[in-house]
Amino acid sequence: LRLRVDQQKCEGHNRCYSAFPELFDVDDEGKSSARMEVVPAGWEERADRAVANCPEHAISVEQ
Amino acid sequence: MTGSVGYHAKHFYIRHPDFNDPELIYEVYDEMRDSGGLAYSDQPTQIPELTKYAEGHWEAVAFDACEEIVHDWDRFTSNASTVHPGVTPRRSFIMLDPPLQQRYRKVVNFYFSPRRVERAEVTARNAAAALLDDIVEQGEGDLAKVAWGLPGMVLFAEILGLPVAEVPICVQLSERALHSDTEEERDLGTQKFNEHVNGLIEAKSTEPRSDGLLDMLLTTTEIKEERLSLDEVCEHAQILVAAGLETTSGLLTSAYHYLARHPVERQRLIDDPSLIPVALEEFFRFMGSVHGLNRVATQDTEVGGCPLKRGDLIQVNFAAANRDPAMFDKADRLVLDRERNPHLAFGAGPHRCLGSNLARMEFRVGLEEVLRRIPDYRITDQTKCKFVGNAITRGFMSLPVAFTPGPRSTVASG
Repeated sequence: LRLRVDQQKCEGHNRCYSAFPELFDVDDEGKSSARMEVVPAGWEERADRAVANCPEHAISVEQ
Repeated sequence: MTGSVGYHAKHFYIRHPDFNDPELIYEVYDEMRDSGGLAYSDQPTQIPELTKYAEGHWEAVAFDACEEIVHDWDRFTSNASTVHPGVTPRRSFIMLDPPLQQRYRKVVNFYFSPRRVERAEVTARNAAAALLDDIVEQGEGDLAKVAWGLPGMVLFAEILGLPVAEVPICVQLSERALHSDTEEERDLGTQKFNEHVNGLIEAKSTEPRSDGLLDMLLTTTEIKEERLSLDEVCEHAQILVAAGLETTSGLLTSAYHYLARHPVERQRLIDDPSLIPVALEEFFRFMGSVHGLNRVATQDTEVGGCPLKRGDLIQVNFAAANRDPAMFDKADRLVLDRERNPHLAFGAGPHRCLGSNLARMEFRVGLEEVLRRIPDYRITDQTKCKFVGNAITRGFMSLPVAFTPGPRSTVASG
């Protein structure tokens, strides 16, 4: 599974970073990015929850 | 006089005194949502000046409609003066549209970023400790005082660069501006509040520079090619102080009140503090203190099947969106461990609440410290829990509680 944060859509809510800092990082302005390109085995559910809770629909997980 | 849910659904006015009942407003939202994404009201929005330009307004109450509106600043402007030229143009970025609004945000976001907020947590812990020390030995006190003090102390010291000693007077002035009974008193209160904040900015020119946001606004040339005018900085200071003092505080009071009345839920949080990060998003969804912010339609358009005309006023009601059963299972219940929760308590789009990360941290600290130090608090007199709900932000003004007395903290207060 590939994890991606759309930088155009991210508005810096940081819901993803505050819930799953192991998957997401933030810059000094609060924009989020994925820490890794591929979701490690066993963390799929965390990635799905980050997708579901992003108020900007900026996070995607794809095969 | 108390109107029925049906009455309020047709004549929605957020300033109506009936909404000093904490629950009624949510029943009204449910009824309004039955008629579509937007419900028309023949009553004004919370911005009195705009009543000159439109008799009534549209209340956006469905999740989808609210989301669509806040993401489309081209069709729905935050700057009413672009559509209604008679409206006094405001200069703070909350009342502007991109791209200028984004130039401000690029510079100010840094001061509210997760890293900056993480650094401020120590100050929040110390503030909570000092506020709880005021009551902890007596075994009784007013929890509203804790809630109304904490966010201001963090905001002033860590973010804005204002003296912490100013917090109580600013809280008092902003309460008068927002919660006075008549529009005239609120206008006068706003004027006094603004004058006071302007004084704090003017004092900065003779004080040593801090690394706070307001000092930066006074000197930066990154937003415009020249420095911002003193008036522009003052207008920003007014909105930042007001927004920072009233919002998280109001929510904290509502959460303290809710947990006093739901001891099983409270015990869950005490027994398993790891639940708090998930639970706090649910408090934001379920009882977020800011209900509606305004937009103006820039063209004839349509949202959620509802036709709008250029110039129409819309109040985007995030609290109503957050109770929309089309988006949330058991929307009318607080579910502490709700896992799917993309709430709009902080709005969305380019105007996403600037202070959302700060609010989350302050709220968490306020909750954790009360549950840790006075875990068995109970409300002593429900009739003295004064709730103000007919304002831009909602919350309890007093929350008299009793609890098993405990020792003062060892943390240095101040």
